[in-house]
Amino acid sequence: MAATEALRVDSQDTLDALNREAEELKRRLEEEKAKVKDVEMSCVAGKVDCIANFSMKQRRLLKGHQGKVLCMDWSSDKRRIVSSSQDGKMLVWDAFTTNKEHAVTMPTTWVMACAYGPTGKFVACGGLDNKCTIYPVTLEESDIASKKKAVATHTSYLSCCSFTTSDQQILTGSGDSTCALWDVESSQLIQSFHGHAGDVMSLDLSPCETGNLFVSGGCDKTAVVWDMRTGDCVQVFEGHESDINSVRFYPSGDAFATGSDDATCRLFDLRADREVNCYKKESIIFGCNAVDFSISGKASFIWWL
Amino acid sequence: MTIYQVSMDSKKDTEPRHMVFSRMEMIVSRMQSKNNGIQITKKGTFSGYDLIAWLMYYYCRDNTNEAIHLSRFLLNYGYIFPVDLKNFIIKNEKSATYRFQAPKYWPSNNMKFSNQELVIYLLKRSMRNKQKHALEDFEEAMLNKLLKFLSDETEFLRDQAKEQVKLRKQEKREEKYLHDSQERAFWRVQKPPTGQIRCLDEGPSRYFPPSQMISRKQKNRDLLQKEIQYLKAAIDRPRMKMSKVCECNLQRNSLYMEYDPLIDPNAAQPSNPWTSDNTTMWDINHDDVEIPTEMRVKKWSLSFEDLLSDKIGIMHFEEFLKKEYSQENIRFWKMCRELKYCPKSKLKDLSVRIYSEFLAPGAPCEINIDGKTMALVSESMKEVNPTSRFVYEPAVEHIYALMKNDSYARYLRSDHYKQFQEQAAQNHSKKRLFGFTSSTKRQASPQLRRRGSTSSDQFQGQETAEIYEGSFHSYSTGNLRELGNTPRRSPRPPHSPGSVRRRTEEPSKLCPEKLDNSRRRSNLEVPRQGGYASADSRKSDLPCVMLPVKTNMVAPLEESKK
Repeated sequence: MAATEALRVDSQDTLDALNREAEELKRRLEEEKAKVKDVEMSCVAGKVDCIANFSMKQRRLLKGHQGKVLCMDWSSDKRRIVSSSQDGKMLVWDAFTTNKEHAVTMPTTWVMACAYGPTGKFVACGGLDNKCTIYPVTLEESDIASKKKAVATHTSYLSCCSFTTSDQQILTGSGDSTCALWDVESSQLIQSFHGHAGDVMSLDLSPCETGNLFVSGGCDKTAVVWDMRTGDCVQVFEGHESDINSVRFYPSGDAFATGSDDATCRLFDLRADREVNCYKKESIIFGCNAVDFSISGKASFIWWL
Repeated sequence: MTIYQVSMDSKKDTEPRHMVFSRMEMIVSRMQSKNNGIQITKKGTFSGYDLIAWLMYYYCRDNTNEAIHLSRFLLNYGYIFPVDLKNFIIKNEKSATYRFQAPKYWPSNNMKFSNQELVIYLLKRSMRNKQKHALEDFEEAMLNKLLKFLSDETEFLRDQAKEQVKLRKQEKREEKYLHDSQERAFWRVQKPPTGQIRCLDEGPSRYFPPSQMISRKQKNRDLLQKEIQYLKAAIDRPRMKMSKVCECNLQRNSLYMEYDPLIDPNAAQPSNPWTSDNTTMWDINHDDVEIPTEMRVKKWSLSFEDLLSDKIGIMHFEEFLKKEYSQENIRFWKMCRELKYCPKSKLKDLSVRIYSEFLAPGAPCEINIDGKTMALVSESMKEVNPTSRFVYEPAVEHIYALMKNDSYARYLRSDHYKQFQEQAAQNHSKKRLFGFTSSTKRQASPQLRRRGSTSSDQFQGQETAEIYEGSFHSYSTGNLRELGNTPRRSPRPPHSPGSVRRRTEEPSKLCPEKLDNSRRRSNLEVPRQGGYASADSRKSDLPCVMLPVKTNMVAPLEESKK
């Protein structure tokens, strides 16, 4: 490891040398990645039938926010929804009946992140207050704000959060360019994830139980796959031309989709270690705010502004 | 350790955050180009009709709605404005005329404006001809508020405004008019009337401006070192060919399509609550049910992960392992998973418990791992903090692989699983009976009746003949009872043998079919249904448009055909 040796000498030269070495390695990596691409996904997909009789229509309209809705999350039974908005409110809905079950007014505007706990007993949210706060949601409790618990604290706004498969841990992403895993009970940091050069905008946990992985995307135009155990970056994916606003794992956990401000969505594959497809349309000029997959992964959803 | 330097320069810090501005500017400059831009009159205006047509041709592939949508954004972002500023909307008409905004008023050049600028603009208007330039109520209120707020600067601002008005008055009439309207359009976009949304709101700015992102990428020695490490590892990483990746994804898609209610409406058993308004699916699908739905049990056979992601699945698998005397494997795996996600306070206790129960020599439920794995575990116990959540990871991986490759395959072949599947199927049919009759009684919406009585419900994912029998009777009895006063209903015994036979024949014929209405109809061979089926109400996802009386004729029709 000549590079590591050289580091001890503190000078611009070594920095340049390191940069050069990195450049060279990057070039080789690109070559390696290019080898993998033997076929266009669109060619393969051409042989697939379109989804028959696919019609989408609005089933429910949930009215109640007085500003842009910035984030929403489904409960695990896919009946309840937690949503947060620009006006500083977090609402918990029974989406089926369209009733609001709980409403919390946050101390700040721009509540940019909210998440439903896997057991459905907790919701978490946060935003410009730089914190992630957890509220219990039970029907007996009418004033859930009194039972709140601030779990995570960042040095910049909270942009995304997600419970792990347990109510006891929460993963947060922040404008301070880090992601962090927190212990809910003690509000202590379990693991932090450094590596993004810009604000982290979105994260998603791998659906694959054994993977211990999650992916995050941010303003540095890259999506990074992390090992939750060690805090190491496992894979880096780039290709977007602007901020990545949303990342979501493919249901098998082998790939993930990103939605970006450059008005494209891309599909990256962990096995091929590269982008496998890019979705765009000329008349779509606004950034993409959110992406998600259907259960089978055949259809994906995209929200444009 | 993020890696790639991107050619961003620090100029970008002051630019708007979203790329949409530059895209709009691109569109606008294309519109203005001489060769294939929009047709512009001598006065510099163009019609709404031409605008939409142009956008449709160049950007929206002849989709009118998209073009209108796009043009609305051009308007609301202040790149074009209507000549008649009072009607600040897009009209797809020849009579509606629009102008391009001057680049100096483009929002990308004016992301932030000061209150002073706003006050000067408002003062200017209040000083001029009342008829043309009078302030609207909300503007008047805004001005008064701001003047109070900036009371110490009022004089200065007034002087400025006077000066500017003087200059403007010296301009030629046409120029004056153009500049006035440009300015007014700009402020109309920046400060829309109350109740209208200001599209330019960008939200909180980035914490790291682009220039800082670059410096973070370049300057940091640790990052560079890490990057090189990462790159070295990345180059040697095994990679799957794209074709293989696509193939895998396609395979997976087709495998899981059956379970995706969005693609296959049969996936939601007994019905999708969002389309049928029937919550039975939720009632029978939570984690505390005694016997899960057939679909759920079937899904366990797709992969080991699917089995383990279901609480009931784990329980059932554990029962199976108990019979095989290898229950400790799944228990060990469960405990280790708990360890991963437990609160910090319980970490140490749990860790110790796992060790003493499963790993320690002579432990009561010692798991069967080879010496190599055990060595790895003890090494990681020494090396890392013993209270780490992942100390037993090597053993967990070993046991997981063991269960996946060995026990899981046997489980799927076992009677234990097959019986459970049958049980679920039978139980499911009972559940349906219960669920449907009760719900029809509870909320007799027209739509529910429709679903109960038309053929569409025969396809809700039944597999065996038994279910068909059960469910069918449940529908018919439920509906008969409920709709007893329907005048045209012909009397029909709910347990008519004919109908049962028909139902039992159908599934084999129909289940593989896609949900294609016309096809389904032809298969049913009930030609008379076609009469009303062609009406739009037959589309099964349109709730609340069905006429219950009509639909209830189905059963008699089918009956009479027999």
